[in-house]
Amino acid sequence: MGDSNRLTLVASDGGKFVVDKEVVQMSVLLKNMIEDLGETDESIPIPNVTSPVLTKVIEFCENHRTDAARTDGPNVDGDDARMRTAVVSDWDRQFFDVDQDLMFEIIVAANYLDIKSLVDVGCKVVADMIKGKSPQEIRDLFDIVNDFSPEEEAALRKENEWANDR
Amino acid sequence: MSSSRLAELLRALEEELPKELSSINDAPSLHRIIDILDHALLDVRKLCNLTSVAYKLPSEILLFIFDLVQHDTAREAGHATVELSASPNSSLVSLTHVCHRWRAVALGYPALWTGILSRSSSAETFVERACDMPLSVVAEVVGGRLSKPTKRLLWRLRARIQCLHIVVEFLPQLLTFRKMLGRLSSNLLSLAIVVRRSRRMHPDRLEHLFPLFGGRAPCLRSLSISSPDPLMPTDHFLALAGLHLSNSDHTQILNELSQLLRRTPNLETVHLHLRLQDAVSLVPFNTRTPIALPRLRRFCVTSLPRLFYQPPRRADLYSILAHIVFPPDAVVTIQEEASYSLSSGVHHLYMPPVGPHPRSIVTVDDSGTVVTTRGSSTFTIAYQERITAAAIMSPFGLWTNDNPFVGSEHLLSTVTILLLQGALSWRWPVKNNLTALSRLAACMPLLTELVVRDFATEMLPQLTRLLDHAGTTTLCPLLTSITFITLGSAVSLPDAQEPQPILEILLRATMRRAERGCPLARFTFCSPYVEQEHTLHNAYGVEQVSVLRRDVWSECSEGVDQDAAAHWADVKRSFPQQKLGRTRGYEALWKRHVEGDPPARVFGACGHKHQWP
Repeated sequence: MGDSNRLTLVASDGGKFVVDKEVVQMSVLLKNMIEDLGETDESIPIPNVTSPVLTKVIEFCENHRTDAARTDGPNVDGDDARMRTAVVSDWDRQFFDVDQDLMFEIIVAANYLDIKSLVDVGCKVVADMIKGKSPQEIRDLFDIVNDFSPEEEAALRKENEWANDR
Repeated sequence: MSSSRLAELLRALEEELPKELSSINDAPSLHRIIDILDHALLDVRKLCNLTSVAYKLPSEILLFIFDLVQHDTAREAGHATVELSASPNSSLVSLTHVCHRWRAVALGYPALWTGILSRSSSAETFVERACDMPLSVVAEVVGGRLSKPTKRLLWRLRARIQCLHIVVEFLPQLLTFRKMLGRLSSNLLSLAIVVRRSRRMHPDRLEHLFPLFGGRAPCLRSLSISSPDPLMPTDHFLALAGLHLSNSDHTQILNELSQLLRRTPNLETVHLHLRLQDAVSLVPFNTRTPIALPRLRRFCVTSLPRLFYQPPRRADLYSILAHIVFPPDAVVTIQEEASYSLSSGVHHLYMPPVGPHPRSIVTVDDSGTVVTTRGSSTFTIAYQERITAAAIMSPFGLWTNDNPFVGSEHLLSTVTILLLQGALSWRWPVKNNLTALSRLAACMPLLTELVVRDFATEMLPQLTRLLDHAGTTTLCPLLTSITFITLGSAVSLPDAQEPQPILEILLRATMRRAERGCPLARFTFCSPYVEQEHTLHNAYGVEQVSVLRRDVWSECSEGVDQDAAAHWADVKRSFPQQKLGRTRGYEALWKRHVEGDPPARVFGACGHKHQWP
């Protein structure tokens, strides 16, 4: 019989991770699964997440395991509170100081696992990278190619004058 | 998948090109070839994007990122304490011009397009893209009047406007909007007003009181007013949760402010960003009955920097605070203005009404003196003066005082944690320097944690005196943890030929304190000159001695009260940009010491020499 406070997650590439249930429960998806499964020794497969990404996700959850209790209070600030509370700490910024593919994979995995705080912080980091940049600078940053036709670009140019309106 | 599509593309090209190539005999046929190649190239570009992770992000993630970018830009542009400094449209234009997919995702999300700049040529397109979503409109008075197209737009969209941002040159121009505001009163959720310029009239002649909505705005949740001349709406705001008044001297109209607070019984957050004016006769605050704000969670007062001398207004601000009945768990933060009037001695630290058994944390560093007092509610007050153990450093000069905390004994008696940084440019008499900390500690019987950060061991004599106090009573008997952070290395003692290591001097003092029956649980020593970090257990009268080569000041200051610290950080983000303090300077100095390049010139210029007792 294993430790009832810990469980095993299996990444898409077969990597196994033994983690505290408390940490795992930051993921709404996994929390619901654990509640459905009850006490069990079975491992939980995470089919969409590779080992390197799962390692990072667990690292984040372990670091933020005490946050949930602090932010569980009533939310009276309305719908945009999530945006305002997406504060990126120095630790978070360092956490996302990885190559871009991994950064986006972490965000996608957090979205799949329904870990709101990780999605929020990841998206805020990306938003901060984008803010104030021109379309070409954004393309260069994320390795995106301009796929507008010349006619479409001519139409877009008309929208450029909006950029300076106040 | 992309390789098969690429192969398909190439096959199509192979089929089409030979036909055209076989009949090249005029310009139109050449143009047809260019078109075929252009289209092929565009298709290859689209395939390229399938390899970009950012391009392929799920739509909901992309939308959240777009929302964050737009929200941040709009917040920076539309905060009522400033004029529109950047176009709220600029981020949307950038995001939608990156690639087909990003554009399609953005255009398919009406909520992104609800911010309408009424004067912009984008207005109609945005309204169309916003579908039936509620709108947020910016309306600006230019040349003294509201333009006809803006009037028409506002009138046409009035049923959809939920947020309105009004910009006027002078306060009286706001009257242009009264009819419109009256019409909007039943559906407007948020109103921000920016008045750009002052009429520079005597305050008695200012028309600062009038109903914005004709008396009542039952749905309004947020009201933000930035005006150099005070403006105080006289309407009833039964649903108002957020009130933000900035840029003017509301201390002139404290009575009216208190009346407004009485008409807003559901307030949850209040922000007052005051710009105190000179030579303004003060109307005394004459309210006697308490102001009940049962849902209040945050009350924040900040003073903007002043340029000229003026008498302190603390008493007036505190008088209104003293009348508010703060519910349990309310958090109050006050950032005071730099005061000039220190020649008569420092104004005592304010003891807030937080209920029974208050506990306080005092932090003194380059950004000033911050006091957090927690009882049933929590107050954080930032004094711009750096009130050190022996002197008061204001941004305008240094003031010495035998006891800089005189009058603050009640507050000091509640202090459990003290974080005290020395000053880079101390120049006061040595006798104060040596005894100040022990005199201060005598006022703090509940102190359990002390963090001292000094520059060149100028705080060392004070700390050893505190630990080694030779009187009949032990100072701070509940003290269990001391952290000493220094840029110094060793000091010369009168009875020793060689300079003595600081750590040894301090550990001898902790040992003597333990012998007097008050051992410490933790002693942490931080210096860039520590060669190897190590920990000792049950040594020198301390349960755990940690010797570190890193500066743990920020760890200590962040760790003392996380809720209050998080709120304080939040409040600081809303402050106007301040001049950089020397805190960064300390970090830079630490780094230079670690790298073996201490800036001797700085210390030489600032006179850190002291006599050992």
